[in-house]
Amino acid sequence: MTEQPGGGTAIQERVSEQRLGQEPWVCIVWNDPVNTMQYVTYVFQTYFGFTKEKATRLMLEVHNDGRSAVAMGTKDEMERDVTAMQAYGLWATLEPAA
Amino acid sequence: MRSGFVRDGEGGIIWYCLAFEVGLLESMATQLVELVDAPAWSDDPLERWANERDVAPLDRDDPALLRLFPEASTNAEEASEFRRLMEAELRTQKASDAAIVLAALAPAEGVAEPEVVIPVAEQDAWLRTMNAMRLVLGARLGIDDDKDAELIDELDPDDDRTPIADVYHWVGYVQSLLLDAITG
Repeated sequence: MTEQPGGGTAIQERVSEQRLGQEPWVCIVWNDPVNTMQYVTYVFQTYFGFTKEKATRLMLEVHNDGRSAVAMGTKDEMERDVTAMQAYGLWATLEPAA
Repeated sequence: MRSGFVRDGEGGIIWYCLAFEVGLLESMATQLVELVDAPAWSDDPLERWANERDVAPLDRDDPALLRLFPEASTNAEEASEFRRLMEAELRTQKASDAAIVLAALAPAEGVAEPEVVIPVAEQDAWLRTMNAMRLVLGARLGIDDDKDAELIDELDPDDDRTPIADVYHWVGYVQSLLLDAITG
């Protein structure tokens, strides 16, 4: 059998890369004792464009449950959102969506 | 005499404050710039990249820096990857936010009745910078959970931490007044 270097492997890698790229990730914001509820709500409204009601609900989820998934998307998008949250001083992490 | 944050009618805000408040914020913003130690900015992308590469890594044993730049994942590999991609940008962002605050405070320096102008486009830089100050002071005060935060709210006047706690509470108060003015 003739070896065809590259051929099949390259396509396989590209496909799996694509699949990996499409796996949803989430941006998690964690409860912390310093940031105020007013500020966290403002950040969610300003950055994500959430209504005051939605921003407040997510803020309370962070406060009461210790964490909340505030955004979902590609890994790149979530890296961008985590960076923005950390720029505002929120304690944010990213992880694959469960 | 007017006091506090007042809207200027065009979306901007004027802060009628006290001379000591200008000095205190200037001092803390300057310390923040030193703490985040951002890579030097350059308009040349290649030079910028070199500056980002050469900047000293953050001291992650410092609880204040660890809180300003938290690990972005519980997975060590992911956290390291995030640092590699985003840390320089975050350091630059925090330093440039603080620089915006310093530039706005400069004309008010040494003025008896200071009026600090905060245009719409700079409001988030102000909020982020005051928040960073609270995070640094909170870390210095050892506030790790809600219970610590309550204890700091009720310190004995003779406690060594009281002067720092007073500044911590003051920055929180000013930040909430600014938020009220922005959202009110």
